[in-house]
Amino acid sequence: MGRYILRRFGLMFIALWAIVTITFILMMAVPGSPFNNPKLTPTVRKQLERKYGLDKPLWKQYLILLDQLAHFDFGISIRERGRNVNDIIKERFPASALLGIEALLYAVSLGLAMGVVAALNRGRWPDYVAQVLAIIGASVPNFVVAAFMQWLFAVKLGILPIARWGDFKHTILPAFCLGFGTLATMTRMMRSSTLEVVNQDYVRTAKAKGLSSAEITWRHIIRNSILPIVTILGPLTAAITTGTFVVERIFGVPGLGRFYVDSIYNRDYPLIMGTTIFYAILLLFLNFLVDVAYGFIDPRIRLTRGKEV
Amino acid sequence: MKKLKVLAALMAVAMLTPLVAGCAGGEPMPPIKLLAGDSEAAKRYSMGVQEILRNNLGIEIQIENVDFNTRLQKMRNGEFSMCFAGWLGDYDDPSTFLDMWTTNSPYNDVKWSNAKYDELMKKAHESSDPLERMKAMQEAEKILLEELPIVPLYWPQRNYVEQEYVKGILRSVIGPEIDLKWAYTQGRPGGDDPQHLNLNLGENPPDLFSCTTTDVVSFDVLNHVMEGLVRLTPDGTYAQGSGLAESWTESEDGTHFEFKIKANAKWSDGTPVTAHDFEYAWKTALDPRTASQYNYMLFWIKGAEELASIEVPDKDADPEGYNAAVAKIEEAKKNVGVKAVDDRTLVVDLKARTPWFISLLAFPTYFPVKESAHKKWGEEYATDKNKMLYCGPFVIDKWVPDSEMVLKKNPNYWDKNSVKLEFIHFDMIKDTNTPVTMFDAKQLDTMGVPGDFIPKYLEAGILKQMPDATTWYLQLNLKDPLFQNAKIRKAISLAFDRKTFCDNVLRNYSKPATSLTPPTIHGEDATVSFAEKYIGKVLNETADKEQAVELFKQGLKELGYKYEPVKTGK
Repeated sequence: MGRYILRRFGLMFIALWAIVTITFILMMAVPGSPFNNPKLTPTVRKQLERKYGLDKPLWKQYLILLDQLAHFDFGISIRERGRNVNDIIKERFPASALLGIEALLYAVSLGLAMGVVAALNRGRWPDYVAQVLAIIGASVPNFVVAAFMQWLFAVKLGILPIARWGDFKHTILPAFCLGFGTLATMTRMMRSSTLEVVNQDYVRTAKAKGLSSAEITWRHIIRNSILPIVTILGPLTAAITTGTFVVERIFGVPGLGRFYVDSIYNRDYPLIMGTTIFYAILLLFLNFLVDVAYGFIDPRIRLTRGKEV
Repeated sequence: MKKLKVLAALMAVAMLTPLVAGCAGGEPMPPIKLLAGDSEAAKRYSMGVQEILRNNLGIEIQIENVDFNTRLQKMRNGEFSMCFAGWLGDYDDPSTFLDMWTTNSPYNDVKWSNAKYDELMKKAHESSDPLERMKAMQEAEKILLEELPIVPLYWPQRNYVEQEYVKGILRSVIGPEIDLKWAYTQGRPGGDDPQHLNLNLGENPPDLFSCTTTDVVSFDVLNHVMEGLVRLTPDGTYAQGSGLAESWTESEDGTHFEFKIKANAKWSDGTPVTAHDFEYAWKTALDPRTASQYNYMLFWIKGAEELASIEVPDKDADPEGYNAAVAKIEEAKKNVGVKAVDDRTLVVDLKARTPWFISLLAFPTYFPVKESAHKKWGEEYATDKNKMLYCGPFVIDKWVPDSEMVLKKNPNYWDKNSVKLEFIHFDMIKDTNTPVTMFDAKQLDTMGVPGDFIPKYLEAGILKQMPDATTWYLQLNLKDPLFQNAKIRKAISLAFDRKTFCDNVLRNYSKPATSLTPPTIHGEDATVSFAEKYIGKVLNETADKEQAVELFKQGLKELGYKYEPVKTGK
């Protein structure tokens, strides 16, 4: 186990280095510069490039970047003058993470339940309800859901705020919109994987042995059908907790989501690098956790090279 | 070397082509590419240009939609043949639009050069005779409208709405877009007390340091928490005593000013605002190490441009050169025409008479900065509400980046009795639909109206409009052989149906630009519009199709190209 973890961490560092390098090459290849004021004169442009070290040769900028990253320092944002990228991430991540966790909790739990219920009632009304919901969730974009929710709950019923950020009630609508697509995915996946499992021999055996249906569902069906869900849970968690551009923008959430788009639009190089690496680390780490989790759920997957018997 | 040979061969072919082609009826015209932004609106606008030129000139232009940064880089590098661009005037004088097109201007992307034009603009800056200045600029703009290196298209309007209980918001064409110093509410449902307003900033202010800031969002905040020597008053003037200067005197030739700072002008920490704070701020903005993007707004001051253009080598790569540059900067700072004679007297010397200088003093780059505070927080100055000092009608009470900002009345402000609002709440919602929903629910008290919602508020009868000091135009790159031909340029302008473009494509109440300088710009006399009095309607509002096609044909013939109108299906 220890050796496995060590090896995985080694691989993670190599992956990170590759991500940094590719991101650096891509962002430098994109035309344009962080200094996008139409009234900027060539003299001041030169001064700004000097100030931010952008006049140095690319290989030097790359080495400086690696050096910074080795100290976990993402540098100073260019667009948000004087603000440290580390601070920006620290400041904005909690809002995104809170929304993401709320969204995940309801989408995953509800999605799993709906998926199992739909599969066990295949061809009957609960199945149709779940399937219709899944189709709506997968096909309606979240900005449409958001606008509808704003209109219904804030304007018509007046029970939730239209936008802004503050306490729990501000998180309800954005979290709902954020998790809506995931809910659909979860329902669909859980339904199909449950359907596969219910027809397996061991389920029939369990039935024949006279186990109660609750026990069969819990011990034999869910435990076996949940594996594919666990697989996507890693990347899903990373994606949903680091913020999304659209939902945060519509509800005025001070999260991290906008920086993935705005930093590129503004050519704010340190911020592009900072947010990309932050996301990458989270993704790699969660994937690692998922791999470890497999072992607990499914004894057939072992992390250590087991002794052959 | 190989490249050069290929180039030479190409040039020879290019020179011979017209001769050969002339006999054979001409080569087909090379394609024209229009460089434009990539927002939904910009895409629609560029397609409008494409269609108008297809219908009226029979040519099919290609469109290249790129993001703002890329477009700007391509414009500055001259990598375009036709380009959509806009310019917002910096001050109320035609020179803010006309200076751009002098030969050495950094903004002259089309590389147009006209000796007579340059000479006239030089005269406009050096002459101390008001009438002579206006005449020079009149002649200059007429030359430009005849030569048409750029084709003015339209003058946009500002569309906004405010709740009926909102009073006293000051909006100006040039200068602060919105000033809430005198604003208040009367009859707000649920009561007016405490007096406050809710607005949407649209974005987290990226830079609240007055020396370096460049964007309108930061300007909107700074104009409320800071103040310059003057402030635009509700009667539309920059009167003596309107800002932190109690009064000033101006020399006969208009180049020497003496400002007296108000005795009760105070920073938010209770210390007095002194003349030194202005001198420090202006010189900091001009210091090349600050790299202030708006430092050119100070270039009317003697010695300012010299200081700002000192080249500073990289500190690590060339420490000696760096130290020499720093010494040079310190020396140059002594020669800049701004000096605090004592705590309350600021003396300013200008290069030449600058009639709009007083109005510039309300621009953020001219705001004071207290040296001790700036040095204390260094690069982090103004990145947090507690890391800056205020001297305006409000102070920042709460700042949650990307979420909200609350300004509250500044108890140390010299004119606090005029300030009726107890606080201002700013949201930072970037989406365009959400603020509309919030305005309708009375959660916002005023907002700019996004294009798609103009009909909605027009129908409701509450849409308000005011002119802007911006002109949008097509830049025609003179490095492109096609646009070196004046007839081609003129044909494009003639074919351009500005009215149809405004009414059917823009649909936001923009006005056809019949000249370059928008009618909102005045000059020596603040009551006389330069465009209306000196220029008139030079360019066509609707297309003159026949003449345009005729000129275009002639131009193409001169270049050796064949005119092959595309079929428009009509």
